[in-house]
Amino acid sequence: MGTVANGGLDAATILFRRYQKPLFNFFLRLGFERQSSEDMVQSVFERVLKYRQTYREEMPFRAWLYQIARNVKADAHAKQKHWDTEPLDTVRLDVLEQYSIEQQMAETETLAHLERSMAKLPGDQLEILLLTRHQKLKYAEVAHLLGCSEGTVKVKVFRALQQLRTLFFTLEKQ
Amino acid sequence: MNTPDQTENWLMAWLDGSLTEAQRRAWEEKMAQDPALRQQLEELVHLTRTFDHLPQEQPSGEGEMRFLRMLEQEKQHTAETQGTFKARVVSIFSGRGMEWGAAAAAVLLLIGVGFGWLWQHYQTQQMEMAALREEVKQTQRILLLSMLEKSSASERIQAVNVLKTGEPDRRVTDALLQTLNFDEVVNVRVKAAQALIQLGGENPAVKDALLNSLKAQKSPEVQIALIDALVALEEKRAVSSLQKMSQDKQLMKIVRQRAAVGASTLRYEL
Repeated sequence: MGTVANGGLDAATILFRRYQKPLFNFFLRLGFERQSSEDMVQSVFERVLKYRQTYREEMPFRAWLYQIARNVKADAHAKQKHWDTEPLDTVRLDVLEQYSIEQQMAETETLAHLERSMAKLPGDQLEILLLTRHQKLKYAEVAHLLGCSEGTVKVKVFRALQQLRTLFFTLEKQ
Repeated sequence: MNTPDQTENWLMAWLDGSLTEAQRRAWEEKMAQDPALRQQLEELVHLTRTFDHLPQEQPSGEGEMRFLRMLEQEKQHTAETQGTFKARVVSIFSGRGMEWGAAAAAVLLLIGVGFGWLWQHYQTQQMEMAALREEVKQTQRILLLSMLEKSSASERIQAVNVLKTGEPDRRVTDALLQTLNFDEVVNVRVKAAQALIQLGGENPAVKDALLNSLKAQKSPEVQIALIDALVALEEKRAVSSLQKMSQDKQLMKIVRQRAAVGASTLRYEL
């Protein structure tokens, strides 16, 4: 059993390498600072190790993982609410390098608009958008996570998008 | 939550790309009459595109070090918990102060109560480990398959060598056949042919692909690897191709010889 347990624990390293970056970005986009986001990724994996017995095979793994991530987020919110709008120069320049200067400026401006709009979006709407469109979780996985039907997830995502659209285009017109 | 109205349903279907052609046309007509609706859709499309391409930030390298330290602690903790349990059982059995009768009763009670709990605990852990192992297996396979596409020749060889030890799987055999036919490096193609002997034995599609590949390959090393593969898989349909190859003066002598030996081996097995 010791060998099996250790084998399983070593496997956790692969899981960490696979999900560290998506989870880090999930927390970052939820509005936490970089350092807090890194700490929260550690907390997620600490809980993965601690509560690994509670994992049930019938639940999609990512739904379980993001359930833990949501709990970590809720605990962090309870302690302290952050919204640290990252300064523009932290927008990844390597992504933009392929565009011309004018395109880059427009792209940076659009991203900045989007980030400001996201900051104004209610927390649950931002979360469901991040889970489905940014973290690319399937509707079925999010349905598991939220304990509702896939149809409900779809509608919630759409309404969150509509809300974001209103915020985004209002900001852009200002 | 309110039930979505017809417009919401249509917009959702548009964004998901799940409208039929007829529905799409009907929608286009509706939007031609309603510029506000068209604008709404255009804004949604623009927004989802921007949102889907939000840049991904890179976490610092320190995270993994922290995680590995935490993992070591967890391993130690697991080992210590098991060690403590063993030590307790041993100390109960070797206890001098207790009367043997009372000791035996206590042990029986402990076993009775403990066994149920341990069994349940063990079952849960087994399930969880199986899920983790499956996740790891899938991750490894995805990594290996992607290595076949975008890495150096030595990494591709390494990937082929690991993949051949796994279970036969359509995606793996397809990737290996792709490698066999199109990899630019001869050694990688040879390794793919060798791997297919192990993975494609029961799969007629693999045998067909090897036969076709034999006609197309120009490199003598790969030709030899394919002849060996077809002989190892006892593919009797290869006899005529091998006989032709053994007569083909344009091929290298060593290939012709191997083809002749292969043809006679397969014929003999007939």
